[in-house]
Amino acid sequence: MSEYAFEMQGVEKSYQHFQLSNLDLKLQKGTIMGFIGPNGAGKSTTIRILMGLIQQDSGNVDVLGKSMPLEQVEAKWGIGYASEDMRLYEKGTIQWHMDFVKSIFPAWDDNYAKTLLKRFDLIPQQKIKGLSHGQRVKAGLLMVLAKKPKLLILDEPTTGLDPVARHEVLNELMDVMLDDDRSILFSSHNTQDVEQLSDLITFIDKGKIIESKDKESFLQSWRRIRMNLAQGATLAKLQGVVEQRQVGRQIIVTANGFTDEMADTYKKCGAEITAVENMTLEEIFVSEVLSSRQSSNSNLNRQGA
Amino acid sequence: MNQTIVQNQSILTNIVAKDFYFVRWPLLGYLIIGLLALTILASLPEKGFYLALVLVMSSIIIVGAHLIFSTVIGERKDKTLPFLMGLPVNYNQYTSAKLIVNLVGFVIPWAILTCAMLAIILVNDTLKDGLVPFFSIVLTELLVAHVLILATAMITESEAWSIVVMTICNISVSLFSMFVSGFSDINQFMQSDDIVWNSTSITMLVLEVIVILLLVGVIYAVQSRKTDFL
Repeated sequence: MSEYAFEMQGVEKSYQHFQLSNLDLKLQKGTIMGFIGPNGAGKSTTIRILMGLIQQDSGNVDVLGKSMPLEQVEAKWGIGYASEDMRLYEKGTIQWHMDFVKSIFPAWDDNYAKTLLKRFDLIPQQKIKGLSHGQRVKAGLLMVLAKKPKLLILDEPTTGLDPVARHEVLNELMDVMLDDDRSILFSSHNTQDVEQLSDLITFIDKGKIIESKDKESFLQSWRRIRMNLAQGATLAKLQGVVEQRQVGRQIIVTANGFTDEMADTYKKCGAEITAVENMTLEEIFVSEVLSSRQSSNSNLNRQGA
Repeated sequence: MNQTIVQNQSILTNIVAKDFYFVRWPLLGYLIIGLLALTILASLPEKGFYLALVLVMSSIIIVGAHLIFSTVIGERKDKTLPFLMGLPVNYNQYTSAKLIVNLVGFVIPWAILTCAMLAIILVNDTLKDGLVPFFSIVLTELLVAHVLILATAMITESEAWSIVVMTICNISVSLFSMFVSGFSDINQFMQSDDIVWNSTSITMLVLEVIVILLLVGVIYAVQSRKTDFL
C-alpha cells in the first residue's frame, strides 16, 4: 500500500491562456499540506485534477492508491472534497443534506455530525437558502468532515469566514489530524491559516510548483537583513538574494538561505548589519513568487538573446 | 466486484431520488393542471377542445422545462455540481442519473395525460375516434422535443442554448401539427368514427421513437468523451 495520500508525477494541463507544467506533488499520509498561490496560479486546477473532475493532458495521478481519473469512483469513497465555489441545495435543509450524505457513506458518524452542528452553531431544520455565507461554508464542511474521509481536499475552505468561524473550522481540521491515518490538502490565500495548520507548504505560481517543503524549513531559511552601507561601497550580489532595496545608506535585503558566510561577505563589502529578521509566511510566499518570476524572466531574456 | 456494482447502483438511486425530491411538488402541480384541463375536454368537448388541448400540451411542456432547468442546468448555475461530483460518482453515472430523472420524470405525466386525452376522445361521442392517431403522433412529438432539449442542456451545459432550443421546439409544436395533418393518409381519417392506423401514421410514430433513441445515444456518446466537468 502506498505511503502517500496522493502522488502527482509530471502532470500537465493546457488551456488557451494557462498551462499547468510538469507538476510533481505528493502528500505523505497523516500530514497536512498547505497549498498557496496567487489568483490564477493553478491551485483549483490542480485540486480538480486530483478529484478526477478534470483530466490531465499527461502525467500520472494517484489518490489513495487509485489512478485518476479512471478510478475516481473508488478514490472518492475515501475523499472529502469542499471548494469555495461549491454550494449545497438551497431547497434542502441541513438535516436533509446530512441524511443524503449518510445514505451514501457507510462511514458517516452521526454523533460527530451532531457535535459539529453544535460547534458550528447550525440548526439542522434550517434551509440552505436561509443561511449566511459563513453558515453555508460550515454546513458544507460538516458534510465533508462527518463522513470521516481518509483524505480531505479543501479548496479555500476559510474564504469569506469571519474570525470566529475560521477559528472553529481550523480547530476541527486540527482535530482531524489527531488520526494519524488521515491527510489534508488545503489551498488558501490566508497564509496565517496555512502557517497554523500545515506540516508541509507548497507554493504554486503560473502553473508551476515553485517550492514544496516543510513549514519549518521555509521559516528557518528566509531572512530580511537590514544594513547600513558605507559611502562609496558596493554590496556584492550573493546567491539566494531575492530582493535588495536601498534608501540612502540603508539597504534591506531579502534572502533565502541566509548564512553566516553571507553576513561576513557583506561586512567585507563595508556593510554594517543592523538587524536580521525572521519573515512571516506571507512575506516568504511573496518573495518566493517574485524570485520565481525573476528567474523565469531571466531565462526568457537569455533565450531571446 | 459485486459490492462495487451495488454501491454504484445505490449512488445512482440516491442521485435520482435527490432530484425527484426537489421537483416533486411542481411536477404534481403541473400534472393536476393537465388533468383539470382534461376535465374541461370531457365536459365541454366542442367549446373547450382547443383550450383543453393548449393547457394539456402546456402542462407537458412545462414538466419537461422544469425538470431540465432544475436537474441539469441548475446543477451548474446553482454551483451544486462540485458537491455532487465530490461523491463517489463519475460522469457516466452522472449522465445516467440525469437521463433517468428527466425521462422517467417526463414520461410518467406525459403518459398519464396522453392516455387520459386519448381515452376521453374514445369515450366521448362528440370527439371523433379518428383523432387518436393524429394526437398520438403530436403528443409523442412533445417527448421527442423534451429529449432534444435535454440533449442540448446536457451537451452544451448552456442555459442560453437550452432556452433557444426550447423556444424553437415550442414554436414548432403547432407547425408540426399542421405538417402531420397535411398528410392525406392522416387528414382524411381525422373526422372518422374509426381509429385508422396506416403505414403513414405508424411510420411517423416509429420515426419519433428512433429519433428519441438516437438522441439518447448522442447524449451518452458526447458525455463519455468529456474530460473536464468543472
